[in-house]
Amino acid sequence: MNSLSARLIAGSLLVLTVFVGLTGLAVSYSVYQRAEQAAEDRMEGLVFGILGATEVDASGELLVRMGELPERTLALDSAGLYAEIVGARGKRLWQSRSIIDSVPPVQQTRIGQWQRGLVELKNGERARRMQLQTVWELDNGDELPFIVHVVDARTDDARALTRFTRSLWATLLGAAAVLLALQLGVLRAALGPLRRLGQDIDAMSNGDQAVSENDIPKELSPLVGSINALHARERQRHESYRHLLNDLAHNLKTPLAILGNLNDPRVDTQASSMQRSIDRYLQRAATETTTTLSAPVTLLPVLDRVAESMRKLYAHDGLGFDHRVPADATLRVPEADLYEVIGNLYDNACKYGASKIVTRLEDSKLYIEDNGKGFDSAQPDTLLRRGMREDTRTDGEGIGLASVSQLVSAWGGTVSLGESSSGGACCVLDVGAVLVQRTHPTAPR
Amino acid sequence: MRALVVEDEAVLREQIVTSLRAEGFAIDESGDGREGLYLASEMPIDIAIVDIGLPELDGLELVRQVRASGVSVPILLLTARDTWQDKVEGLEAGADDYLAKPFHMPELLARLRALLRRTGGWSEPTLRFGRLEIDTRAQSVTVDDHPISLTAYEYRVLAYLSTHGGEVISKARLLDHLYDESDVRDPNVLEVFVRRLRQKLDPDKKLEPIETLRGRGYRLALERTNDS
Repeated sequence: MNSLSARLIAGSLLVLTVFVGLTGLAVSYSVYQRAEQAAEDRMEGLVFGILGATEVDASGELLVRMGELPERTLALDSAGLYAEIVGARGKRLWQSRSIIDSVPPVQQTRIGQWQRGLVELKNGERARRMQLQTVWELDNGDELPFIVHVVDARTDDARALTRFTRSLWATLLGAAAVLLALQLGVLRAALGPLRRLGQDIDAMSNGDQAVSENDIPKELSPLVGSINALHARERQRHESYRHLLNDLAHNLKTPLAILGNLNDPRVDTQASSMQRSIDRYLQRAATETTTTLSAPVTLLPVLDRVAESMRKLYAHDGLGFDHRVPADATLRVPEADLYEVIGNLYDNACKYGASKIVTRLEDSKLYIEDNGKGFDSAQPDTLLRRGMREDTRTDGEGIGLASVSQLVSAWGGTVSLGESSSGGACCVLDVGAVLVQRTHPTAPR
Repeated sequence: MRALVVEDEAVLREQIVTSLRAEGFAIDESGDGREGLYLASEMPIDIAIVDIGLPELDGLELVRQVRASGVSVPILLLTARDTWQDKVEGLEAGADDYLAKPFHMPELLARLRALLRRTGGWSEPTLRFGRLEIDTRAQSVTVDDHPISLTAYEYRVLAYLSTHGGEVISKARLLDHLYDESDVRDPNVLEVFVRRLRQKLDPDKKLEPIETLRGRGYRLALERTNDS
């Protein structure tokens, strides 16, 4: 379970279940105990009441005055409550007018001893019974032992207890549902800052520079500070890495220029080899850097700046550029890499005779088309492999297109080469993986 | 032609200077940016080669200040930082071209010739003035397709006048662009070069390629027959 929300909700459910369950059980048990006690007290009262209504006449016969019985139902033809007085040897001396389906037998005990409990009647119902064995001392000094036996099969109390229990559990479950809903609301409010933090971190991976510290709870402030500091350090390390590589290249290239101009073919060969190695490893280092730490770069200014440079370098060709790119289209790539890609593609176009270059962004693809000589090769995509070159029309290392391909590949995209509508070259860069925003189209310039 | 070389690595600077001199350039040179800025602003140079990484004042700032002072000579940047972002920044600073290190000297010379042609409004390496043709790559001259043998200084005089066709070039300016600062300059020697040039290019005095404007200087009198 990797979700904090799920964990907290599961925890809340568990706590609520245990709490509601224990509360219900405790209340039910307490009420049941009180009901039991009340029932026993009532039965005892019945027994004493029957004793109070009982007397022995001069002949030694036991009489019960019906009008003095504690329960009127005992004197009526009713059901559910039954009383009897049983003498020695099990002889029934008196019984109530009320009846029950079956009368459980009395049990002989010691004088003065209570006997109580539950018995099962023939019809399967349970009944509460209580008996007291006592002895009546007659005027002549004899003793008359007998047992007062009461059986109560009425179900009113049980039904009331059941109703109470159902009501109790319904109330507790309702309360649990309300508490759970409140708990979910509290969770949502409490986890809100974490959700925003997650969104901000996602935005960082899309190029935002830091997590916003506005409205962040104080408990999360150290975490946000640490994340921002880590991100800043990583960016700094990333930049330092690139600068170090460039400095290294700079420091090596001047001696290489000297060696290459000594007019010694052996030295020149080695110097050229070293130069190729430097270019190769610089390119590899550039393509192995991540794009997630890169700030978004607005595409149009880069296109415009490179185009302006091309106009300067190839001034005599009267170059025209048409940038059909939204003004707010941004790419989440290192700025230097974007210059490298556009610079190489525009330079290639100019070298190979283009006088008109059209760049458009459509469906997350950047199309760069020209009216130059195009690609002679039947499979122009083979030019994307490092070191291959189209022809020897101009000097160069022949790695421009391969460099473009590697950089775009590092962005998670692809490059494909083909023929433009005017017969020149058409380079298509799939930049969907790094395209941050493209909303408002711009008029061709 | 007079070129300024600003490069802090002495050996490389010497290689460049040697090659340029062999090509007929008069040279001003410096190993730091601040002196380079002074030379670019004060000397009558035709072109500048400036390294980006310089002590005292970096190459990009040097170019910016040179342009800010109104000097419009073509500037070629030498850069070891050969990313397109660096190139764009260099060109925006005011440079006209760049050359990434390491480079071979023929490539540097070709770039310089191309820049000088572009500045003079020429798109091709061969300058044509009717019967007279000057191949700036081979530094060869023909009249009616017959090769003319010129000394290095004679070629320099002709090349400078031809790339500034139609302009009146004073003797002082011509001397500035022919000789290094340390060389002894004698206007009489210049007159000798011009006389010998006329004899070689126009032995029968029908072409009359170089016009002398008394008290003002010289001018290539031929019309350009290929353009930019």
